[in-house]
Amino acid sequence: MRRRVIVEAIGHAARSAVAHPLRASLGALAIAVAVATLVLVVTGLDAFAGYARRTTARAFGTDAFVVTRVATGGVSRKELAEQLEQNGVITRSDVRFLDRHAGRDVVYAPVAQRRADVAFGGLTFDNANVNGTSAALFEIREISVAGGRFISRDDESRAAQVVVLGADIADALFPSRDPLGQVVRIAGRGFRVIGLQERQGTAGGTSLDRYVWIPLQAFERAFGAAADLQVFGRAPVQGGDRLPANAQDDGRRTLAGEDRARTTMRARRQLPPGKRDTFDIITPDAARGFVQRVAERTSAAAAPISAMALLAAIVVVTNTTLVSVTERTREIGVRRALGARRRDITLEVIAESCLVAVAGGSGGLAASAGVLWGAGAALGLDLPLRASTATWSLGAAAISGLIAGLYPARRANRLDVITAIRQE
Amino acid sequence: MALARSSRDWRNALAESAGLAGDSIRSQPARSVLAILGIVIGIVTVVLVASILANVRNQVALLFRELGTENVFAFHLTGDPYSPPSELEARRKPLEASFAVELERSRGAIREVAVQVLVPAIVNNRALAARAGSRESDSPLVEGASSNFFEVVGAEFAAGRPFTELEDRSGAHVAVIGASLARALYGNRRAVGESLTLDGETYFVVGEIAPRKGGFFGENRQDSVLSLPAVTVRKRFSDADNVVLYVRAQPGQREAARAQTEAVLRRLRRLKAADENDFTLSTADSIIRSLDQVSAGVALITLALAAVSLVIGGIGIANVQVISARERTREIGLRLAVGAPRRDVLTQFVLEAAILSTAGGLAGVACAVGIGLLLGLFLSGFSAVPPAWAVAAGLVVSCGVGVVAGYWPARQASRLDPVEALRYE
Repeated sequence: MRRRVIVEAIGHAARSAVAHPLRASLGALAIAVAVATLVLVVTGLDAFAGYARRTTARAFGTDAFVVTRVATGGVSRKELAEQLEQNGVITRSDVRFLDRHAGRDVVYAPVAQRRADVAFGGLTFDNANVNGTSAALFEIREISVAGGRFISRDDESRAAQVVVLGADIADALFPSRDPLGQVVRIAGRGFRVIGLQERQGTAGGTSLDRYVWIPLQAFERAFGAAADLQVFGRAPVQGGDRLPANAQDDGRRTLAGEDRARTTMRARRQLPPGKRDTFDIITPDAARGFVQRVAERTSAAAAPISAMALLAAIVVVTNTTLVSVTERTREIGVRRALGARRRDITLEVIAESCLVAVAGGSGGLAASAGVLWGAGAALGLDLPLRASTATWSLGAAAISGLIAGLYPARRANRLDVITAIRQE
Repeated sequence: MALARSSRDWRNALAESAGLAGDSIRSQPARSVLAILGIVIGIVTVVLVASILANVRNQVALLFRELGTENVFAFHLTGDPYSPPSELEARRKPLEASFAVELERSRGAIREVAVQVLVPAIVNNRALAARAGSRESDSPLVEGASSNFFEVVGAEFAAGRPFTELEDRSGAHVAVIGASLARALYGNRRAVGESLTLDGETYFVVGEIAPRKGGFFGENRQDSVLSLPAVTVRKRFSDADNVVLYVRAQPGQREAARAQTEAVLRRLRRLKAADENDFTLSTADSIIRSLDQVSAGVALITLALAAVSLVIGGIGIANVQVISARERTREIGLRLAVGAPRRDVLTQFVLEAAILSTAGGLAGVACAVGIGLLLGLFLSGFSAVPPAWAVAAGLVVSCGVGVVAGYWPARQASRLDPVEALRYE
């Protein structure tokens, strides 16, 4: 019974909309423009967040975390100062302790970092980011090598004078010849080029290709023992498979690795329960926090502006529905006289405005999908329209239709039957 | 003659259309009000967004103007002096405070030179905090300043005085503090004459600077400033080696002063003719210009987004005009049949649409100003008056939207076949 009423109402509504295609389509167009705007804004922000995620992953490794003395960023100056006061530096013996108690949950690679010039022949690359590290970093940070290889365990144990160059440095020092096998100079010592890192591009305006990788012991020979180390960690990759199929399971293993690192460090520093960590663990999530905040602020500004567009569209649909009610005054009067209830009329009017709005919403969605596809193809970007975005944008259109129908519906069911019938 | 006649015709048509538009609004009030409301929403969005953008921009601009518009700032890095150096500039050595003397000695377009020494927020692994009795502020902006610094940047003193030259030269323990810091440390008491401790040393407050006008969302770091004599800072904080030189030009000679500063600094830094500058000179205007360039894109996108509402408002107007034209088919047919030129019909409908949407525009601007006034109550320094260009553009665009939206229905109406139209029920 109830369903029949609704179906009938939708049928009436559809006929009324079809009878005045121009009016209905202008109402739908208004909603379409608003919905398309919403979808484009949301997808654009999504794409920005995705881009940020990828760049941080490139700079960091997807599932890696870092044990460090103090993580800068995201904390107030006071917290930072407290941490500086309490947290001890991470030493080589800390790293050895971590390694000894790694179990099967986690692999570690220590990293010592400083800036130094890299020279070859008459050419010098200023202020390269020189990293002393171990072979395990290759796996932990998913470093991609374009030519040659990364530092091996053998290089590590021999403290070999070998180096893997970032793309900017390789370009600058070897404009016309193959860098592999050549010997560059860092801090007055010769390092044989064994590998070239794949080009990483930039993250937030800084190049990620100014990196140089050498074995940690060679680093210490060149620069002296580093005062403070960072330790990269990651849950070991099983079966040599670098991309586990089950992402959820992977997330759990990352947490387990992080947990193991934390408990090991706490044991090492002999921290009683209840005392806070005297070290920091940076996760990709934390590193992403900044970008997230920027995206949140942008959407905080963009959302109300897009909402105003939807509001304007609601007004337009209200108007078209109102006109439709006015034009059908007589018809409504006759139907009321023949026994149609107020509720039926209300339902019918709201169905009409919802129909127009949802049709417009679908049109807007289709148009924005087209724009996204076109822009994606033209600019070579990945701009996926998410199913959730599509769903709630249609939902927003339907709700707009509902709101737009309220006032006209009230006008319609308040009509006096006698005057309505008498009207021309 | 022809011109006069046509202008009179135009005026008649306008008056007639206004009358007809008034009639149609009176006969269908709900419909017209809704059409106008659509435009109102669009204009409110655009004007309000423009107003907020202009406010933020002006406040930020003021932030830099307060450093003195006639000054040239010299620093060894490009960009924000409180950010770490970029990789390319990491090698640059800070400027030296003694350069100020050399610059002043070169005379010419340079009137005087002030020195500002930046103290990092964290010294010896501890955040600098200022204390007075039981009160504490953990975020003072500590800096060293030469005795002429406050005059060069045109700082206004709420109470007290700047450092004397003797205090600067002898490294005296005196301080000039910003308004927020004074409130944090002394509440409503008078700050001048009191003392404060910073990093284990006691300083006497000799001056308090009046609250700054500019800011970023109502915040101005300069209000938390804790200035000590530059020499005192160099003695007390060995990490503080970042020096900003404020070169005050002779009236109207800022560009000459800039060139002169560049030449002197190049000589002092022993740069060869082919070397690039290893320092950056900027002025309040140049900083604001480059900020404007950066923010122009953002502003444009935001305004475009806001304009979507206006487009939708236009669709609403078009809709009402389509309906109105259809309802008046017979009337139009009659007018055409008795010899009204088609152009008159066209003009009438376009003008009607324009009148509707301009009414919406006026109401929208009024609403935006009202909302701006409300915002002004909550945000200090927010100017409720929207920028003139936004109001003008809003009105012109709303009128234009009406013309564009009204044109198509109007053309349809003016092309009616009178015979068909008269037969229309």
